[in-house]
Amino acid sequence: MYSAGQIAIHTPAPTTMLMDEVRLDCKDLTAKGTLQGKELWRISRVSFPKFEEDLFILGDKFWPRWYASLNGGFPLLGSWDEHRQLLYDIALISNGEWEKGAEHIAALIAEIEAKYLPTTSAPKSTTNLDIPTGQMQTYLQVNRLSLPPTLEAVYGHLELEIHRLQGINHWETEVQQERSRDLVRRLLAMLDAVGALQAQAEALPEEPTVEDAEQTQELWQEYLDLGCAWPRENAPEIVDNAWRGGLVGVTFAGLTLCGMAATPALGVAGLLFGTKKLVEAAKATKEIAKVAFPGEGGSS
Amino acid sequence: MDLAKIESPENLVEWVNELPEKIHKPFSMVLGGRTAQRVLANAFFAIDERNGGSPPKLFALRCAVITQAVQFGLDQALILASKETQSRLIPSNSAPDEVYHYTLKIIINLGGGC
Repeated sequence: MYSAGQIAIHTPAPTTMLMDEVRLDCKDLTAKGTLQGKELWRISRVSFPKFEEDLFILGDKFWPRWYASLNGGFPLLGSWDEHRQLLYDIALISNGEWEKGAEHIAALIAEIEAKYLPTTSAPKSTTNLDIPTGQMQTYLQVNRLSLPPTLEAVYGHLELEIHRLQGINHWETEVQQERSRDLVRRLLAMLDAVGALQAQAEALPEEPTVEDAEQTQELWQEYLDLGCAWPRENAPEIVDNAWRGGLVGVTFAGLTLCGMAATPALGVAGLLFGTKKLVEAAKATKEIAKVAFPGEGGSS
Repeated sequence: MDLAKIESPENLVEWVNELPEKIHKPFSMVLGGRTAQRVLANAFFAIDERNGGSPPKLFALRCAVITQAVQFGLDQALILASKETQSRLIPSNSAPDEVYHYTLKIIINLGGGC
């Protein structure tokens, strides 16, 4: 089921494998004093694809994200402190509430999570994707089916603006016309990058490999580098603002499906706007996120 | 106890019990939490198989969240867990200070439970 260069995949894990992981934990804990950030399965990867799919049935997207976080060794929220507090809050939900069933618990967890979402838009001014490979691999596996249509939305969104710009026959100045042509070229390059991402997402195996994750990371980086190379100061004169809001939204959706935490994903996606419209971008994205990710982007 | 001799959850409990007092509790929490989560992953799989693919039980997920909170040092999560959960995790008469001793027992109890 595995080949050289890949970690072994077993379902379920035999006791010997489990104890191999335990011994590695003991060794690292003794040497370093912490295992924070370590993936749960480091010697052999154990996969439960049917279980992971079934987690979506519980009426909320919390459980698949929680499971990915647990396996990948990364915090559900922006920091480990917030992650810890979130788990505390959920673990301490009273017995009576749990007995009301999955949907009720999902709503309560969504309320708890909302407390930890940022109340002000403060996107990071970085375009570097810093998603650990293992984390992205896990997210690619969980979101393998939802990623292609999301990327298709990004592709279609870019295509829409290219067609709009190409359909404008008259610009007020020659400078604007040249900027428009330049932007179309950049958008076409972004379109190629997203097309490559989409093709790769559609071809993902049930168990994405480290190489798949690394390739996805490279393609996203290419897309974002192209987006952030826009002539920001002048772009508002040329590009439709509503369209830009939509682009941030679908880009945000794609990044989070690949394992980027919501806040940095918002920051990276927001950079496509340039500094002048950053605040509006964040607001627009949060509105879109409410629809795309109920329970994740709803606080204000 | 040599690390190489840890071949079962019971061995792990023995190894942890030999740790210096200062690190006994935090290490128990982390090792107990992580090991319990792995055992739970297998238990989830077994549930899935037994039920012919029905969605995972909320109770099992709750167990997993509690063990993860325990991993971060939340004794209170175990104390306040439901009586049903407690009975499968720790003896019901445990004092708060004793709870961490039972963290590793989660491995054994949940391994065959949930």
